Amino acid sequence: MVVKVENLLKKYKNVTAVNNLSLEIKEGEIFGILGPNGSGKTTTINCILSLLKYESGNIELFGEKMKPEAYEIKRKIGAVMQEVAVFDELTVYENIDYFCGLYIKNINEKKDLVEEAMEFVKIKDYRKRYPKELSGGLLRRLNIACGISHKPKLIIFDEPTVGVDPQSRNYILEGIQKLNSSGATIIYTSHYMEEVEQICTRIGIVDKGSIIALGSKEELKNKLEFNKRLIIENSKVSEEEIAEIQKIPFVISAKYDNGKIFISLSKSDINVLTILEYLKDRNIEFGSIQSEVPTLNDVFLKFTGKKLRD
Amino acid sequence: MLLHVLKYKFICLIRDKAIIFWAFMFPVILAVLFHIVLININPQEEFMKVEFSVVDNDGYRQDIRFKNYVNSIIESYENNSQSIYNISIRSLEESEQLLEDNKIDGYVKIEDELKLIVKRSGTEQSLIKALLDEYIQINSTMETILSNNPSALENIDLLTNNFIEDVPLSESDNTDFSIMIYYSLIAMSCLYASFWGLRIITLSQADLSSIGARMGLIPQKKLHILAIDFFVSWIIQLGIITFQLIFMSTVLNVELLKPIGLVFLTTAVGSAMAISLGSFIGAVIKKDEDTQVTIINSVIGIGYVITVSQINEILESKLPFLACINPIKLVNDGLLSLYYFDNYAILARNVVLMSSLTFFFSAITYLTVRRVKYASI
Repeated sequence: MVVKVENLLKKYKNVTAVNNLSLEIKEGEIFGILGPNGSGKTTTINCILSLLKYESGNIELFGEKMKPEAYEIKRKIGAVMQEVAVFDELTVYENIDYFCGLYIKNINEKKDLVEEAMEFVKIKDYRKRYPKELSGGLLRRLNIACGISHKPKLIIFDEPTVGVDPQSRNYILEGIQKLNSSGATIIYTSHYMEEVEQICTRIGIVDKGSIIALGSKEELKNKLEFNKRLIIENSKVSEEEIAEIQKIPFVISAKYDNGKIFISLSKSDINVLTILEYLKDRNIEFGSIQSEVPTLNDVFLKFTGKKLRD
Repeated sequence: MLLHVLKYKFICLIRDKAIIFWAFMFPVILAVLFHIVLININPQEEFMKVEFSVVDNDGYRQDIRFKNYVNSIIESYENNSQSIYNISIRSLEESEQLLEDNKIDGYVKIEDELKLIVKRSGTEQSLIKALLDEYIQINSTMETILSNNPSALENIDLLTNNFIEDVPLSESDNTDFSIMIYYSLIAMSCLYASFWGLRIITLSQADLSSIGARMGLIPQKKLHILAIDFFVSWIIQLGIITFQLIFMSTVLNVELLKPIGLVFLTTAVGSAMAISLGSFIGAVIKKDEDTQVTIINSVIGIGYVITVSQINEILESKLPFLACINPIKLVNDGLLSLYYFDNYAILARNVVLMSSLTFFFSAITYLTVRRVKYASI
């Protein structure tokens, strides 16, 4: 077990930011912590890293209790925090070299690692530039390079793609997967469901300081009662007709909203034509049809009654 | 690791244009401006000389006491360049002519009584009168003592003052008061090192900066990193002060470098004190950086005002402890004592006080920031 958190409780005055949260992260996982803003993701990370005081709980990394003076544990950790943490007075190369040098003593090894880190995040062409000369995306990549250049075994990414252009975002996500395939265990926090779904092997959904659901993507979606959603354009349909649709055996729910019919279908082999024939038999007109699979947003909605981005 | 951190800390500080301007260029600019203002003013203090004559008439020759009194003052003037009364014994005609020609400030003659003849009323004339009043008072005192107890004044002549010896505070004749301005600039420059100290803490604390958060995760002892930061800041600050001293001494032609070793010692210890003060404020005052900068500016500003104004004297008499810990005053007075006095007692005291404050601030800083977990970031 690389990370073990037991009953973590953290309060800011009268506000409970982390509410008896427990989780375990195995070696080689990309563990996602997904939750809306203010749900306690960053607070949990900062407690794991022993940056924040907490009221109670136990935190172990690599089998040992984590504390500020646990230097051997810190040697194995890399962190890419939400705020960019680089020196404005140093160039791209100098920033990575400085932070790498705080972990790696051998000069030649450090030099190779710095070059590798720059190649990894694709900022070699900007090595002599200063941070204020970089775009937001490049700055984030520099931030990542500074956090991972020393090849840590556990890497924590705290919302690393905030304010980043799509190309840089893809680089970052692909890079994280490469790091994982090289042997690093990753903790990735985000409020972007798509990113977590794309790269994480196991996900903890967090709300109000507690984990409300935990498992792989499939395990989480299996917690839902439906496994497909149809969205049918329709100019007019009555409440009685919606009620009739709801009575179809494999229909979980049906509603009409803003010119569209939303039909959630259960875990059975779905025959879309069956639905369409049903509508045709009853002379219910329809236009375009879309089919969606459940998302983590649906999981969050099930457990909290609100969407991730509300 | 040590050289690695030293190298990059040095580069970071040298490239920080804002700090370099305030610590480096601002005192130089002020010094140039002061120099332009003061260049046409002779700041070398010259003690006022009061020239008067005593008429050599019968009354003078018969008044032995007054004669001895005048001779003692003449002797004092010949032996001490800082004595202000230059008395000559002349005839009445010569005295009148010299007064008419404004070559003397007045003359004294004894007829039935002591008379002072002047042409105008001014400071010099008032000083002559004060001298004569002193003679009259002492003479009257002597008369009283002699009438009651003649033996009390055996071998003592109060008028010639031969039982009191003047010991000058300094053998040097340094009296250039503009030096105070330049030394106070140097003292202010030393105290600007507080901002280096504040920067050290800001970049090491997770609740003050994102770099501080990253630094909280590195596998190095905080004491080592803080010590390296302190050392690099101190070295750069010494370089800045050295440049400023040399600039003022060579380009502005202000005598600031004697004795050179002790001047550098004072500024070195003063700079260390300032850096530790800035670190102390950064570590202990848990507010945003703007508030901390305001506090440092207030300490420097208030300290400077107290140092150069009369509040300093009030503070020294009513609250001597506070006067002792004014950082600007400690540096300023230490430097001034090198210029005005021959002994180093004041300097030694101030160096000890500055060293003690450095140790105190550094210790509190370290105890506050070591092994810290934050309540919030």
